[in-house]
Amino acid sequence: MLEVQIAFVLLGIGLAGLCPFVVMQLRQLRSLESRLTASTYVYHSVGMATRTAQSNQIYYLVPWNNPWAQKLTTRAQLLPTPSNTSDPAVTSQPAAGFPHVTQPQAVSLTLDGNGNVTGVTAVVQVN
Amino acid sequence: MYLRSQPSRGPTPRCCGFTITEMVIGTFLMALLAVLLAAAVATFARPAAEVDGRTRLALEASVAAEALARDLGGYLADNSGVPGTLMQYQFSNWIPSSDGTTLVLNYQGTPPAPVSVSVTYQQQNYQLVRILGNSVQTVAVHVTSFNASLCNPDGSPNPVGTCVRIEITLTYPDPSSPRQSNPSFSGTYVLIGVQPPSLPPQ
Repeated sequence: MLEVQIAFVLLGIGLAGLCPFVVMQLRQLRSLESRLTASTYVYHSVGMATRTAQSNQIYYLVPWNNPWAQKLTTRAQLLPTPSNTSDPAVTSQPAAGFPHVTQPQAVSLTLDGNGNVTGVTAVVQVN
Repeated sequence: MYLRSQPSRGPTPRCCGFTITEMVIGTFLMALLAVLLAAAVATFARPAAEVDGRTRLALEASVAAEALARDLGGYLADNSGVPGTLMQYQFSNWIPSSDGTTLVLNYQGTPPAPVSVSVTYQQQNYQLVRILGNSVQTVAVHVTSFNASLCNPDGSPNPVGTCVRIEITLTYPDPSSPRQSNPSFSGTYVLIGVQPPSLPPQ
């Protein structure tokens, strides 16, 4: 009997040791979910009633206004608003005609702490 | 005179085993420990399972959004290192199917490629697939619903709207998974594609 009780106590201590790992995973999950939040979450947990969480979050896939930025990055911006105020509209053709462009190296993106694109660096050669 | 022999009054040998009181106390302690253990499992194991499911949903949603963002950026990604001209592989239009289960993105081709290049997104066997020509790529798994429809910029449905509303529902574990026990998690992500701005006149 005593051995069983000691085993239970040790198991409890071991489970308590999982606490820091669970907390660390939860924090990383929060960081991951903050980038793309679902409009509706539904949870079915063991021994608990079904939970529904509504954020009604909508994300917009907004192309860059500059056509060459579109062409070179080929990725829309993932924004919570329909437009990006820091991306000015293009009112004139960026280059006369349609020159042929080659890209000697890959496009690099500058990301902030939340993984959002804050800058695009592209090296091109116009023939 | 006869003396009658008396039985010995020395210490009696202890019997093996335990009394009913000891057994009750032992059972009570076992029950207490079991309750504590159950509480510990509920405290740590349940969040761990929840973190697992929610992480899988968040990752799949992220890669699905990235794939859609790449194709809705205004141009179709060409062969690496050869961006070409502004006319090549430019986005033309999007055509959601009437039931919303398929989204076709059309791009302008370039010779000798076909005049128009189409990319199709649809759900197949709880996967979101991207079809370009004969190439079928799995974009995300655990997809239980995919719906695309035209809408206004605020997301309200409009059959002639200028934007496309994409709803992706992810569930872990999905119905095809061998693991069908609780817990299960589901999330619906709403993305609205905005038309790329048209090229200014020269």
